[in-house]
Amino acid sequence: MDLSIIVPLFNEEENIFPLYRSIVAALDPLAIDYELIFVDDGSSDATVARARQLARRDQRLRLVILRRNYGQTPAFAAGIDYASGDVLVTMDGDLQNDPADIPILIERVRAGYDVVAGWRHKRQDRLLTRRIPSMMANWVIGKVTGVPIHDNGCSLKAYRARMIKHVPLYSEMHRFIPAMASIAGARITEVKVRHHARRFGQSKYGLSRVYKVLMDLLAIRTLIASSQRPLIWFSMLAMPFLLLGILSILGSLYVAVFLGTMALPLASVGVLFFALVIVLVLSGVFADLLLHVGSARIRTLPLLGLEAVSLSAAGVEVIKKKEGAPDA
Amino acid sequence: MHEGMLSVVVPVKQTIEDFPDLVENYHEALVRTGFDFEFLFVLEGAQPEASAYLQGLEAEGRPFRLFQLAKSFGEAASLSVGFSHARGDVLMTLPPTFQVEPSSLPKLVEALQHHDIVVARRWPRTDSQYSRIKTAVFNRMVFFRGGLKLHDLGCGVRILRKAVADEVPLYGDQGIFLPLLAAQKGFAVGETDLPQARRAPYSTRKDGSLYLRRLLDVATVWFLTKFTRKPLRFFGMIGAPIAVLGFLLLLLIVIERLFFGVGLADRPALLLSSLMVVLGVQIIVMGLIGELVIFTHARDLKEYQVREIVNGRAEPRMSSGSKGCAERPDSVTLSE
Repeated sequence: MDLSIIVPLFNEEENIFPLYRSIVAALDPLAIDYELIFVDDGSSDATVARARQLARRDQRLRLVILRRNYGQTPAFAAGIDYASGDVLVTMDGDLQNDPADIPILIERVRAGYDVVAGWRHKRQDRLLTRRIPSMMANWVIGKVTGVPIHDNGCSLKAYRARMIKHVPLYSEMHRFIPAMASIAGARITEVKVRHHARRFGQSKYGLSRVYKVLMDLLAIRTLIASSQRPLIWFSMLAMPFLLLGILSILGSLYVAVFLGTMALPLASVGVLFFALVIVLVLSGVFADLLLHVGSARIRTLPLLGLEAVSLSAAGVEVIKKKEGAPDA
Repeated sequence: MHEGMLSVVVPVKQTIEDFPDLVENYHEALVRTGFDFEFLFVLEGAQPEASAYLQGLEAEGRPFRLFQLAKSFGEAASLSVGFSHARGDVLMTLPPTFQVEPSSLPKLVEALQHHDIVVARRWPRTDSQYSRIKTAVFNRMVFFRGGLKLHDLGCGVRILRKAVADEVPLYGDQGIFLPLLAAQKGFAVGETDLPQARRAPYSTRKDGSLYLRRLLDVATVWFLTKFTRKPLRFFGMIGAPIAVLGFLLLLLIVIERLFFGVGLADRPALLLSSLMVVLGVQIIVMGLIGELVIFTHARDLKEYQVREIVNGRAEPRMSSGSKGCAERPDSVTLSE
């Protein structure tokens, strides 16, 4: 199997037939062996019944029905787990992505990339309420994770199966899949894709969402940094407090020597910050312990940077990548 | 595993006086359901009388099996022991006391048709107004929010499919939260009214620590159902406001020193604000450690449960080198 198209569906009864037709229309001319994986994320409408109709007629359509509505990340994770293609393409079920872009994505994977992210460069959304917050979020995500992708929210992405099946997907990670994949040494690129206007439904950037994204970012930054050297990351977190501690102690010494009075609160603050520094550094030691015990590290970080399997028309070809060599 | 067999697990913490009577009543009620069934009694700690009595019945050829635990490890532990030895594909849990009229059990078995787990609600009640209010308050607290609404978690009469027991982890003292955790895993949870038994209430030991434990259990379950995969969001919720508040206070003090000439070095507020920053940062760092713990176990944590696969394999396809660990779906359909 060359290709699996993974589409999570949640109450998409109106969209499922057009979606199926447009995917098939885009892929049939390519003469590749592919499958469609529709993941039903606990729909309460006729989505499942209609998907069954399609599955009866088309053996290439696999339908994975989840017990209830879990959300996008688990639905993608289910699709990825049950897919058997060498290249996996994920997309939205609401016709916002255009299946006609899939061949371009596959092309980039064949060129040697592990993750190809779609970039909706002409977004059909409101400027002020959606595009500007999204641009800011993407800029921050790019800075923090070190994976500068313009459009993390775009579901249309292609992955090398060997790589993505090793990347742990949980919580609300689908936004950060490229960042998570970078932990495993994935080579990442992006291509511009088409974007159609949303027919219904709106997601909002509320304050609670900002908090969640910030916390998730901090978590992912920690994971990325810790996958190499947790001690260094936690020590870096401690640096500002070390500086504050030193300043406080120096300040209290200054007061004591030149003004002749005791500055007890300031001295205590210095000691307090030193204590925090010690706790943070020891947390780093603790993190090191967690990540290096048993097989945890090997299982989660398969070190894919060393070798990449690429699909070509002639068959499977292995590109050996030398350690330290620049990305293809 | 026997198709259509009912395994009844009875955790026996302490034996009541009319225990033989209770066992007979349960047995009769289950005979009337027409199901093939077995009883699994889990004795928590030495209970020579009950043990001798049950062994006697077992020798007579009743489908009774006995398990002896060294001491009481809580209801959840006993249920786990029972579930793991059960032969049937439908499981029932029964309390070792008269909580409901045993004659109403067939109704419970029927209720399972449309659900994966059904819990009994003691209704109509025959006990005091005080215990009714207690039940109502406790359950309101647990189901304060969320779609699921049950009325009587404390009732030990439940029926469930084997798949529920296989996939829902039971923690220590939390047997009563089984339906909640099952709902979180995506199983269909139902409730059915069974009349409370008309017997004199038992003088169960009621100390204040029980209420405290229940309260902590509610907090634990809330944490488990909401934050298991995102510990930083939980710790951040506590740590971030403390750290931010401390930081703002610190900033205020520094500004006062720089521009308004208020002394800095001898202000207790300085100590307070720094303490808040330190505490907040420490709490957040605990959350970060939690994230690392989750990350190292991420492969074993499947967040989704599959109900059915159409046109596909039953097993998820993992790349070579990693063990597939997703659970099997309930059913696989192959259409021609």
